[in-house]
Amino acid sequence: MAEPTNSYSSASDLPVEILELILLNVPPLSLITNFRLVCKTWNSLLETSASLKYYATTGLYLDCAPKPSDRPSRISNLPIVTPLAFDILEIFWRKLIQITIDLRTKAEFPISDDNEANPSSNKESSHPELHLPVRPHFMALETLYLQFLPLSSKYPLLHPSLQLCSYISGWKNYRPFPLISEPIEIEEIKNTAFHKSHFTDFVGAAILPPSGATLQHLCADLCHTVHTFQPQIGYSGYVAESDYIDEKTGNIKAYVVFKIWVSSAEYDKYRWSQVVKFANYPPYRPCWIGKSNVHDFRVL
Amino acid sequence: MSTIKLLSSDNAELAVDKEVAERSILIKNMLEDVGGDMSDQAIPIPNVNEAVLRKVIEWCEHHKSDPPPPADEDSDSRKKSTDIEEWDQKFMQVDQEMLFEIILAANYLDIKPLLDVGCKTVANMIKGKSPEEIRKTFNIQNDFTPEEEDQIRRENEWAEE
Repeated sequence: MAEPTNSYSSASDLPVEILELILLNVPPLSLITNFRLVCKTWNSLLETSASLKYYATTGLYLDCAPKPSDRPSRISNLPIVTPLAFDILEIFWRKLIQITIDLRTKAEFPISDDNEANPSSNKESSHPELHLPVRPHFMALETLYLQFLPLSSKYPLLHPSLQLCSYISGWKNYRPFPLISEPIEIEEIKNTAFHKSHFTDFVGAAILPPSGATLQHLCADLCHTVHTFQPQIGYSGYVAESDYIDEKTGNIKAYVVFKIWVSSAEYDKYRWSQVVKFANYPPYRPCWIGKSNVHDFRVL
Repeated sequence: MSTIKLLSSDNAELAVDKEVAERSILIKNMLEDVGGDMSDQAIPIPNVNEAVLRKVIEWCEHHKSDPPPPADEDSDSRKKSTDIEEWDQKFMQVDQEMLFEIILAANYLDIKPLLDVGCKTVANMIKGKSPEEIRKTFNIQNDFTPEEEDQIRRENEWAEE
C-alpha cells in the first residue's frame, strides 16, 4: 500500500479495489457509455471486476442480487427486468417517439378522425390511408433497431424490448408476455435490490400487427414488467400513427405511443400534466387504457 | 472511559477514546488481540499522517454512537442510496488529495461507513461528466489510441441524444 507521504491527486493512483467501490456508486448507464472512454484501466475494470461487471450490465449489486430460490415459485419463470434495462429502454422509447413525431409533423400521413379509441377493432373500415407509402419511416426504425440490437445480447434482461425491436424490424409475430393466472405478490418482489429512482416515467412505442397482439397486449406487457416491481403505477396509451399496410405481407400495422407513470404519490399530477401535453399534440389521439391494475386489460 | 493513543506516520501522538477508535475494525481487532490495556503505549498507524488521522478521528467522534454496520449477509437498501447525510457532506468538503487520503485511511483502518461516504463523494463528483472532464478532474491520462476511442464511441452511439 501507499507510502504515508505520497500524494493522491490523481485517481489513477488509487488502488483498484477503491476505484471499484467508487464506480459502484455511479449510475450504470454512464458506466457503460462515457466512463468507458476515460482510460484503459477504467474500461477493463468493467470487464474484470465481477461486482462491477454485474452492476454495469444490470444496475444491480452482485451481493444483493435476487437469488432464484428467494422468489416465490409462481413468478420464478418471469424474467427480471433490471434497472439498467429500463434506462436503456427509456432511451430507446425516446428515440422511437422522436422518429414518429418527426414523421408526423411532416404531415406525410393524414390522420383519420373516425379512428376508434380501441385500435384493435374495425381496422379495415376505419383507416382510409392504408395505402400510403411507409418506406422512410421504416428506414428510420431500421436504423434505430440496428443500433439497439447488439445491446440485447450484452445487457441481459432487456426483455420485452427485445421482442419489440425485432418486431419493429422484422414484423415478426409478437409474443405477449406470458400470462399469469394469479395476481403477483408484490410485497415479496419489492425487496429485490431495485433503485427506486429508476421508476420515473417510461414512454413506449411499438408497431402492432393486425391480429394477435393489440395495444392492450403491448401496454400490458410493459406495464406488467414495471408493475411486477412497483404496484402503484398508472399508464395510458395514445394512437400515434394511423394504420397502414405493409407492402410485403399485406398486414396492417399501427403505431402506438404510450406512457407509463410510475409514481404513487404523484400519480394524479403526472397523469394530468402529461395527458394534456400529449393530447395537445396533433398526432396523438388519447386512448385511455386504464390504471393501476395490469390484469384488468389483458386481452387473450 | 478509557483512552488510547494512536501514533501517526509522521510520529504525532493522538489521544482518542477507546470507543471512538474502535470504529476502526483494524484497531478494534488489534485491541482485542492484545487483550485490553494499551493506555501506556501508542498504537502505530503507519499508513496515515497526522492531518488525515485527525480528520478520521473527527469522523469517528461524530459517528461513535451509530449502530454497528450490518453484517455483510444482510446489506440493506441504504447501500444503494447515493445520499450522503448532511454532516458527512460538510465533512467531505476538503481538497481532492485529502479526500483520497481519507478514503485510503478508511480502507486501511477498516472503517467501512467512512469508506462508503468517501467513495460516494467521489462518485458524485464524476457523475454526469464527460470522459474529458473526468480525466481533467482526476488527472488521468487518456491512453486510448484514436482507433480504440472511435471503436468505443461507435458502440456508444445508441446512447447519444
